[in-house]
Amino acid sequence: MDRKKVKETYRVPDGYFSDLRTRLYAISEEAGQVQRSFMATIAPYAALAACFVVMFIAGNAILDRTVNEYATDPETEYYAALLSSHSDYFYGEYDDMEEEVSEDDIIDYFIETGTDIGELIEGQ
Amino acid sequence: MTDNEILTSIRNGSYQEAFRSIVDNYSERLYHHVRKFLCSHEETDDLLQDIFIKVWHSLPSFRGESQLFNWLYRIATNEALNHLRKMKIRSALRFESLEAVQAEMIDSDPWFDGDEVEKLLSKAIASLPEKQRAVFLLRYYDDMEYGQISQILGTSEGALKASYHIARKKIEQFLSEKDGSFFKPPAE
Repeated sequence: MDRKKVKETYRVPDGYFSDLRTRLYAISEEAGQVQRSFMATIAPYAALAACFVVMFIAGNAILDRTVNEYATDPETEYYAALLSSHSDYFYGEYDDMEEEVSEDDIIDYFIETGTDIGELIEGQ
Repeated sequence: MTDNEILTSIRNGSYQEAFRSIVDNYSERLYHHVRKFLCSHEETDDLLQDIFIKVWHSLPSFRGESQLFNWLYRIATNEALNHLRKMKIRSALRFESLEAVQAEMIDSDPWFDGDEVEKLLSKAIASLPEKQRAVFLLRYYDDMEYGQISQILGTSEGALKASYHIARKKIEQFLSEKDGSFFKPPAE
């Protein structure tokens, strides 16, 4: 059997293909401007949401690494703040600020405490 | 519009214009293609609308890597094969074979216009596994080259040739068992 001479072995209702085309045209007319697939439509919003998520996670990770090293309770943070404002006094110049005891200091001590020199000598 | 003009319309975003041209150029051809799978005018009409809905929604993603004709046939063939699989499952649930169901559809088809030999041939084709049926229909009725069928079905040419050869043998055997042995499909 010659393949090219094969005919269709069935009929179609009168006017079927014309009616078919009209119904198929309606597919695009009903859809209107909605052309893009669901994925294509949400892709930009999903990308933006993903950026925010990445920024949030990265930001949290950075904060965790920097804050945790020094983070303490509020009371400790308060004293830490105080210390930091007086750091020079406590850690830098304290030793330098210590003065030698002068004779006047000794005399003032004896007067204020009423200590007798003889008692000091006996106590040695 | 020619296929190249349709492709240009798609690239320009003129989807409605492209779609209408596709309907004009291909609706009748795709009807005949699907009809041979389903053996029923009503089922073909229903499926054809589903196919063109799928075509409409797929237009923005069609880049022209394959020919428009091959792309449309691929959609139509895949939808027809999926429909046949569903019919097969429905038939199995009623303890019937798809072959028997489709033979009954051919016998009771009010639109069938062939002689007894052609009816027997339709039943012989309906007895083939879905993929073999697709290869045979595309080769025998649509007169496609194996290269083109390969693009539509995504199967190698070698496998297609083997599939057609097996389909042909099965049809010959079917017809000889039903006293229709005077018909021989063309070789390769």
